[in-house]
Amino acid sequence: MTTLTLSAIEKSFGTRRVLNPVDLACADGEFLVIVGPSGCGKSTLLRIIAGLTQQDSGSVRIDGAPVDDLAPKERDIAMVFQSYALYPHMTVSQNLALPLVMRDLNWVERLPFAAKLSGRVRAKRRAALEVVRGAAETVALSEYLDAKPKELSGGQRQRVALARALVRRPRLFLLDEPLSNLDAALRSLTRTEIVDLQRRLGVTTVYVTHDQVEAMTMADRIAVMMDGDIVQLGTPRELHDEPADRRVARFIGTPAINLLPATLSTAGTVRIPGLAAPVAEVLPGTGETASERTVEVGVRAEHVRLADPATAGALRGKIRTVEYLGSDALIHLSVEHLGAAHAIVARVSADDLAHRAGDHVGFLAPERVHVFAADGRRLPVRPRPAHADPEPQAAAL
Amino acid sequence: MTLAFAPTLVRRRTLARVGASLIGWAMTLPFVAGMVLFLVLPCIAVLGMAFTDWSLGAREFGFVGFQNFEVLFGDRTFRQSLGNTLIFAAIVTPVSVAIGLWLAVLVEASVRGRAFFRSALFLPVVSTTVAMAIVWEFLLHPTLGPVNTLFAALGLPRQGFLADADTVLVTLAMIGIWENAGYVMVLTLAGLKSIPSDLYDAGAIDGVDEGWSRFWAITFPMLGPTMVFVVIVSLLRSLRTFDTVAALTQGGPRGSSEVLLWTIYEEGFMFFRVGYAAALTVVFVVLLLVITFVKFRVLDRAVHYG
Ligand SMILES: Nc1ncnc2c1ncn2[C@@H]1O[C@H](COP(=O)(O)OP(=O)(O)OP(=O)(O)O)[C@@H](O)[C@H]1O
Ligand SMILES: [Mg+2]
Repeated sequence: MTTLTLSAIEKSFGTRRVLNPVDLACADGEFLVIVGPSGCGKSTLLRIIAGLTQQDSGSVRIDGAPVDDLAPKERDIAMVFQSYALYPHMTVSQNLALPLVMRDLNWVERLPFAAKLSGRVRAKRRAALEVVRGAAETVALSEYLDAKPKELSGGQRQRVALARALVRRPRLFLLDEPLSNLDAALRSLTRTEIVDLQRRLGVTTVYVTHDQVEAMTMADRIAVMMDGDIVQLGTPRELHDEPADRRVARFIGTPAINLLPATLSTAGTVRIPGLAAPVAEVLPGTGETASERTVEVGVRAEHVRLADPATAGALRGKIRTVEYLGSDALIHLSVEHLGAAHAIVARVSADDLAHRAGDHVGFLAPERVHVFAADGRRLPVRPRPAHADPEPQAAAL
Repeated sequence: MTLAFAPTLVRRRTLARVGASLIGWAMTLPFVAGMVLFLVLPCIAVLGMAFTDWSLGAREFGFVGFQNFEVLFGDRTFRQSLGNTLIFAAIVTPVSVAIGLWLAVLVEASVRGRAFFRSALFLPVVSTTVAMAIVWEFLLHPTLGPVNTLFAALGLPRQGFLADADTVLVTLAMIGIWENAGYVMVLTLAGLKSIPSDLYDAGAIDGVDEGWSRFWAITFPMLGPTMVFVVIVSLLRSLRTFDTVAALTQGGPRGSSEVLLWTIYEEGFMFFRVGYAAALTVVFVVLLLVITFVKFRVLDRAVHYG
């Protein structure tokens, strides 16, 4: 049973504010991913949890007890670093044993000859070695126990780092971009391995990454961090379907969500210029409908429907490029009446891919649009009334 | 057709290759010539002279075989000189490396005044030894020197330091340590900088977080390559010591601060026994080569190179 609670954590480096008050709670056994663009303060937050960096104010609690005054080793946590931080002069086995040796043996017992003199020390060393063997087996590295880190591949080093974090059975597992030094294939493999391992051990985990795909595929819950704030905390699904604001919507999902300029009338109707039918109705009471305003409409690529250019109620665009991905394809369109610079992306199934670069098509966004106010907030929209839906087009592709 | 063409083609290609390598040689020539002229030839000359009885300025000389070496190993001055040099190096190298390492770790850890300490402690390296020697001579003067005044104030017996045959070598070694420790510190500081801070973070979490355990588990092994280099350089520097001896003691009193380089200088340029000095030089160079060999064969194996 381990829970982690951060309350009002603040941190500045000199005059540079890196963490605005951050509150975050992590449930027992949860896999929490902190994701955000480079430089937003993720590593700093993780290092504060670990005790490697001291926060300016606020409190870190593990299992309800404040750990702010505890040294990193006393917090009973383990951390995996982006660089792996393996001790290069030690063998894999020595790397894995170090946390155990430091915890279980005092400085006299750690002296090189102590094991020769005392049976108790020998027993302790043997016990540590057993645990090390077990951990090495967990990450399939048993054959490499006597190798030095430089003799291992990137993926193997990464697994040594994981195993070193495992040996002590910590209450809390902290990982800082552990996959960013691996190639793409190995990364997706290791992704599932880490999730499996975490599920098996049930250890509460905070995982930091700037890669939203990693976040979406691994997390129980994701905290999206931007400029020192946690802007949204939720399940991958919530983040995808109900982004708190424009920044989250842009950050989550591949390709990035399409944004089109639109207007919001006092009645709450959202219209895209050049399109007769309204695309959404904003729920009243959001404070945004007092006067006519410019807003942005966000449509995910998978919700863009391509249609015949003549289709009523469709915007027209010209296909710039078709990105074939195997099972599906991404079609990049420039929107005609918004000027060539304005591009949107549609995801279509590769089965009905009948388009080429240069084709003119119409496109529709019949369902699931997001509306973002000028300040970036997402405005809640009413489910589209059935009569406003354009006719399902026979010509739609 | 093809067959008929082949030989000329081959010849032309060979010519081109020769031309290319000629250009290569031409371009390295100034450097190679410099090396041959100033390094290789003098070395050969020294080796040759070691087997002659040539004195500086003499019109003629004869080959005497190994006679110089025989005289050398039977000579009391040489044996004292060799012994002194080894004792000097045996004191200066470990002590200055230990102090320099300690200073480096201290300076690296100090939050404030890092730049000041770094320059202050590097001062002995950049300052002219001969100029500093005057300061030492004054400081250590048997009767007028402030150090002896201090000793007297503390109730300690006055020391002859450089003037006393019993203390002169140790005193010179202290000066050598003072000169070398700053050098060691600067080299070690560079080594310390290259240790990734992640290792210390990982260590802090694994429980290697204070002074000694951190030093032995992370800092020292990571400094391995730097330390090998530092030890070898310090050893070679201390075996080569000359200027403090020349400026302060000239080998005295009574040969008790005679070191190899000083003896060579004396024989060659004061007594003009060039053949004999050359033989001394050969012995000296062999000593240095042995040390370099030991470095490559022994130390490099024991050390982790990242
Ligand atoms: N020790 C430090 N001293 C001064 N500034 C720092 C320090 N550590 C981090 N910063 C600054 O704090 C900000 C946040 O850094 P942090 O390492 O937490 O970012 P991050 O979100 O982990 O980014 P990345 O994805 O690139 O790792 C950065 O602008 C960085 O320059
Ligand atoms: Mg980071």
